[in-house]
Amino acid sequence: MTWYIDQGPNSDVIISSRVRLARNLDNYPFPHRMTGSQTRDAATEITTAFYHDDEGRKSNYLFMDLDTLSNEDKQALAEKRLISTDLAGKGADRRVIISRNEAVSIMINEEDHIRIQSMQPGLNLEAAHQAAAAEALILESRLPMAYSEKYGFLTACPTNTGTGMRASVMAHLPGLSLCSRIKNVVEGLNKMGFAVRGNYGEHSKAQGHLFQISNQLTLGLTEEDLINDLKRMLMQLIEQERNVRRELYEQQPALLEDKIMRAYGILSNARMMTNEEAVTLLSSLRLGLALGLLPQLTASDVNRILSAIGPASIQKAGGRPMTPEERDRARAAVIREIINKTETGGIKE
Amino acid sequence: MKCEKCTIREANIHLTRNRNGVVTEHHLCETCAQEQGVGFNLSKYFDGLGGVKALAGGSIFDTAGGIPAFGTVMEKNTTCPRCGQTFADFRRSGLFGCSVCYDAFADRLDPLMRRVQGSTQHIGHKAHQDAPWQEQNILKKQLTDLRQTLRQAVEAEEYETAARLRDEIRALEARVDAADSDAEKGGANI
Repeated sequence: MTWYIDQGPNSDVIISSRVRLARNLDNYPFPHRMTGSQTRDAATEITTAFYHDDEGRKSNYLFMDLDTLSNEDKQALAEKRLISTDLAGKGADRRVIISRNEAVSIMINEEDHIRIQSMQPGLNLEAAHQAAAAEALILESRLPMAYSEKYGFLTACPTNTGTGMRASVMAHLPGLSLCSRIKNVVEGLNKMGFAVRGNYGEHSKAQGHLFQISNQLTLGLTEEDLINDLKRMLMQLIEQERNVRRELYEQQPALLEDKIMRAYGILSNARMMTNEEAVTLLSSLRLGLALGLLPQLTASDVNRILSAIGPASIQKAGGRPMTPEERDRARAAVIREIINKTETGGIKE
Repeated sequence: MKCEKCTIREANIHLTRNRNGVVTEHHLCETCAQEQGVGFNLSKYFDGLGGVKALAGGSIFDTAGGIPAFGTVMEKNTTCPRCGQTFADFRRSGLFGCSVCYDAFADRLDPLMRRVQGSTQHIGHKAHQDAPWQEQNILKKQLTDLRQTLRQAVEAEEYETAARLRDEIRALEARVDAADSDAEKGGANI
């Protein structure tokens, strides 16, 4: 099972769920104030506590020292959301531990010493939280934690203090976007205390009608309450998005079908494609799947394409430095391969 | 952070709204804030929802555009005894230097937390709890991991590894069982 390819509960609207827990060591300054040797020592301490000479963990969790990775490798991990772009761009002694199924990753020396994130396909914040909390518990029992009875888990930024938890989902909202209601929805969500961002986190644009929605508060509520509040809101959002899609399709079937089938036509035939164009067209394709217009494809095919077409992922698959033009050719080829093989009943993993 | 309205300029006006205990934040640049009448007519921006306090600044504390901000009355610059970060550093970066900073800046934290988080008291999962049940959970997690590895080893036809893993799993299962029955006994005594 791979969280970024598989489908889960409500995955016609919610593509994936993620829960991140921030933890810090009590015996070091926070990462932005550590010296080089402190950064290295903290990383070693965390890694040792994580593996604890445990054979199961050693074979189930891959350890990566970011210093040993090329920029493409780091960016490819960021494109898969296994590390943050922030961690990829930071200095020496940043590390990451990734579970073999890629559902859990532990970033070391990001803004906080430890950032545990756990992902699930579809809307399944509870399962994501459970997995992250299990990892946190292990580290908490083996390391001196920065924690106070009053403020809970102490983090570098006061916006994470308390639970240190950010629960978020990647939502695909083409219906609300196409009928121009998205601006009001986003404003409404902000007013209700939820953060809405573009699909690659802070400061990024919402390409392909993909939005990252998360809790803003981390203190004064339990993890369960934070997740339940977010989930309750999301269930309403999902209903709204489904209704709008249905209305749009009932009102203008030809227009919507044309948009979707054109996207399909371009994706299955184009010889060059930028990442931005692909992400936009894949959004139409995903909408078409939800409306039952493309029986030959599944949402997992769209997810598989999305996970493979980022600039760094394309370059990495090519195994050599590529010009943007070469990447666009390679990207178009990857997309055709996945779409057309599925069409002939080919690869199913 | 970019302005939530124009999404182009940096947001240096930060608004907090507390409604029935639910705190929300808005981040605007000066231009958009002025267009929205922040500081003069907040209700315009919030569609008359009311209850809005304007707090402005280059960071969450500073003053800008003549709007008084939180922190302006407190000029004293405390230094964290452990990491050496000053309160001014914190105002600039928005980041604490270490866990001791929370104590060092304690007298200024509650208003900040109330504004950013709407609360000053953690009620979620606690660290440092007495550990027997934690140890149990850890053993069980290790067991799950080992079983998964065993499945992989069998699939890969690595039978030597699989045999070794099976022994490890048996040993661990015995420990979990022992700890479980200990916990039950302990529970009966209370």
